[in-house]
Amino acid sequence: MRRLPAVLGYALAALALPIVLATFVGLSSWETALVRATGVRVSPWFTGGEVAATVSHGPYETRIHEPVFQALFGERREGFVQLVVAPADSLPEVVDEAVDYDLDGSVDFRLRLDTATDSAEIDATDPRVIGLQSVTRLDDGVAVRVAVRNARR
Amino acid sequence: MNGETRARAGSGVPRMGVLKSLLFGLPMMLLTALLITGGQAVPKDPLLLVSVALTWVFFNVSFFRMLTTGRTFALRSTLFIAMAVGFVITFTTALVSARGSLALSGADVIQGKTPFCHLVIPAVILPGIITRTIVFPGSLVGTFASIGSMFVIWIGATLALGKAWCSWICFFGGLDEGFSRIGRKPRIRSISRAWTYLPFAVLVAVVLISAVSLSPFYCEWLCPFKSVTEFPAVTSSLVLVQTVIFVALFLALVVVLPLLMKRRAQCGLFCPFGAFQSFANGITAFDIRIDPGACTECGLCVRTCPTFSLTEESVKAGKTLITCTRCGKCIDVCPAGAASYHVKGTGPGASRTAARVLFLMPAFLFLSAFGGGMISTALWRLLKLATTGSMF
Repeated sequence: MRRLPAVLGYALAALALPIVLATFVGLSSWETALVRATGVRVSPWFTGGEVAATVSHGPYETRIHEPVFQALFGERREGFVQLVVAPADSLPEVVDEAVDYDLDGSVDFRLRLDTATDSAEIDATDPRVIGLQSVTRLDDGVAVRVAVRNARR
Repeated sequence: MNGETRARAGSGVPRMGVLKSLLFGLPMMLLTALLITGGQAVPKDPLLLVSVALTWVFFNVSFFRMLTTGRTFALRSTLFIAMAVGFVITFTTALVSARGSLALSGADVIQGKTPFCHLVIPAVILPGIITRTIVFPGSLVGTFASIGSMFVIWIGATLALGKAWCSWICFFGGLDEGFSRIGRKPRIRSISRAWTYLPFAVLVAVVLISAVSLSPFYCEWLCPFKSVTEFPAVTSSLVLVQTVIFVALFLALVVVLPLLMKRRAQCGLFCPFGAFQSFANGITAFDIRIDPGACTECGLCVRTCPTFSLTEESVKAGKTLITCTRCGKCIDVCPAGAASYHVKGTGPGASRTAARVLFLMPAFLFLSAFGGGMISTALWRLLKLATTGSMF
């Protein structure tokens, strides 16, 4: 029985090399399997969250993301909603649009985006809309983030 | 001591004959060829071919010499530092090539174009478990340094090598080590033991603040290596303050203190990932043992351990602290041959050679797989610069 720890130790030590090989040889499969198994996503505070609705305007469209209030537990009092207008090469000089970000059938704010300068103005019609947070030129479109209050808190 | 040949008089480091070294070196030559090229065919670009070939020779000659000389630290350190320099060149040129700048823009954040780095792993685990989201603006799979691939590499390394990550795999640690090896005499010879607990305090702070704020606090405020990789575009006074902090931490922890102490100040006294990885030492098969019977209590290992992982008490107890990175320094400097690589569970009569080879093979392979591509790509960029005037 005194030899058992040594045998186990050597067995574990001998496993190290195959583990290293398996790590690199199967890297792309492992990473996909890991992400799938854990079901994790990138935080909506960075991505802007899932797309909740897409409004077509002919040559271009507006993607309205779900409002982001995520907290470690529950939700925060304030967050943002992200809109993306795309594709970049089909955008008009000025995007002027009434936005219903919570999809309740009533307009929450009016967005006026100058696509030449990437500057925007917000005209809030819903008291939960705090104001413009950022305008960001993406690879194929423009993202606008509008700060909003959480109706559930 | 099992009658093994020693590297030098009084040393406890076993060395091998040429034939035996070749026997262990040959599989490494084949595996490093596979891993450094990524399993791809021989490169058609002659500059790339030269770079890959030089890298392969560099790695395998180093490994062969580790076996024949019985020395670990200096050879590992050369590879480790080369990897760090290679990483900085490869990473920064890849960023400039892909997005035209080292500066991280708001668009890069929204589009998940930030390469993920292992230093942020402790900070993303807790919010990941609770919210099932990763609080880092990268992409999950399929891109350079994706979140998924870095997690897989970290899990593999942790299972196989534990905290040896910090001296064999971490491409940032090589910068710290490089500066610590410039010059000979330390200006700061000893520090209070209390400082060695700082990485654990930083770890707790980073984990809690990141969880509460749902943001990578370490990346946003404390990472010294932003100074030599990517950094947020300075678009506000807040970002300017962050940038000043990054540069100050880099200069203090990675350049000045290692120069003065001849030890890895950032790794041993600040890095929260290193503190986190210390707990992984418990699950691997390898550790460092000090034979109290052979130890003369000269204190050389305690004074020179790069990561402050030995104390007089731990030496008397025959082991290192949990922060040990298996760098091999204590083994190489011990004049009494008291320190050696060790497989857990084996007794005092176990072969030192077997333990050392069993550790060196996976550690070296991980280093060559991870660092080989960085070094060969950096060489290729430098050769391009020399021959065409441009790195791109």
